[in-house]
Amino acid sequence: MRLLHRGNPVSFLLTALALTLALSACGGGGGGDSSGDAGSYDTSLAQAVSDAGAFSEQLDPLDADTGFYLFHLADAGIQREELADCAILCSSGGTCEQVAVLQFQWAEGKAEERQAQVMEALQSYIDGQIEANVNYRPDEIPKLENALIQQKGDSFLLIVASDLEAAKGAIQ
Amino acid sequence: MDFHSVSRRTAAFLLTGSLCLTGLAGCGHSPTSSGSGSSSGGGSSSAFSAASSDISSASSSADSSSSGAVSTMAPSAILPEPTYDFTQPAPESAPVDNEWFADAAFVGDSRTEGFYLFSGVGNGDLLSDTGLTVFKLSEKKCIQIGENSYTLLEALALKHYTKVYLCFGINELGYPGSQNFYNSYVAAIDAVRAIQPDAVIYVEGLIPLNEEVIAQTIKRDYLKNEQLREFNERIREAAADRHVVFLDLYNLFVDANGELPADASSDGVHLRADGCRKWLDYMKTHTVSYETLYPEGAESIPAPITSDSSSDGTEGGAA
Repeated sequence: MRLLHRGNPVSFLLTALALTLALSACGGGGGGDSSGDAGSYDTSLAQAVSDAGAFSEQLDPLDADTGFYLFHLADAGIQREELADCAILCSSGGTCEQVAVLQFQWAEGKAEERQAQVMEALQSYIDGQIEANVNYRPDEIPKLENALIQQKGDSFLLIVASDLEAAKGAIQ
Repeated sequence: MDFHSVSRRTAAFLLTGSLCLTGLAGCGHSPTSSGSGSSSGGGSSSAFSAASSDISSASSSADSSSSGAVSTMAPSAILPEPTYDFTQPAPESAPVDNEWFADAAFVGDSRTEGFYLFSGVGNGDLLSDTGLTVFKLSEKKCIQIGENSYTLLEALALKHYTKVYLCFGINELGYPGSQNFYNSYVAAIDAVRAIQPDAVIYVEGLIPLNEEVIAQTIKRDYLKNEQLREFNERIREAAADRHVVFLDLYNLFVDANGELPADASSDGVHLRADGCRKWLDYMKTHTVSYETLYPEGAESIPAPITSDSSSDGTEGGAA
């Protein structure tokens, strides 16, 4: 798990808290559970969805900075340091297929507002993809229209797949 | 907004109008154009017609023939002899790090988007649109910033850049002939130069295609390497004519069969991540300073070309 803080004391405390939780999870004998704790999506879920055959091509990973840019999270009012960890697999251009697990850490009292902002950003991203591809790659539009966007606590899951049922199977 | 940015926006507007006129001419006023483009892009002609007189005066420094020939430019004899050989691809240079691209703009189609996302460059601005052609730079409001939509050229004018990378040509392969493409590419270079006069402009040769993978996946039969090679020659010609840097990406990726290796792309067009990283490595080792290109400053840069030949801009494409 990559944790970021940039001198903000609140952010630092949240980071320390998250690190404590992460260390306790690592030492707690819970290995092999790709779903993470009951309240969030684990980043390993991205690879699990891929392994389940949800995609028609091999997807390439994107780092957190690029993911933050790709989903226009800054435009949605999210701070880069609030994106605590993520796993993103994305087509490099052949299709619109992708899976993203985004985990956030908010300052106290900000969770509800921020969660709504992230959901709006992800939906806006999909809408933009549909607009950009409707003439260009019309075969991709059904995948985009059926995109899965889900939230669990402070984590978010986005899937654009050729086999959405396979993806859902991996989530369950 | 300071005076500098106002001037830059004015120049952008004028060149945008000029680009549009290039397109309008091709839709009904250029019987001597190569005739290779369709005329379906004339829907927005009235929106730009009011600017035509301004454009005429703004471009008066160039030799604007009214004969209907493809293009004209200021006589090269009045320019100092260039010390950089613009007819050749950029030579290899000492590698730069990724931060060198912090004030760069990457302008292009979905291939450029793939480069920006998967190369790991992590710096500079992406100004791209899926399926965009060089014919549409001044028309298509494809860049969304906040609540506002911009054409790619308008977006380019919002900041100061010292490097601008242009990558167009794949989506234009559906149009027969290459003269319209050349004319529009030259007009695009001039527009970018007017907007960003301090920038080194790099034009990127087209990365080859894998036709077999295309046939198996996206099935676009107009995507052929034979025409791509012809377009690459025109891009290289444009670079030489307009004194900008040509990057030879074709030879970076082509295999012994004259194709992009099949495993380099999932659809025969767009590079996988490792190819994007190879692309970045090439760019990091093929840089040229403004002073090297133009040792006598702006006076050694050719005046803008005026063109009355056809452009074309129907939707579609592969990148």
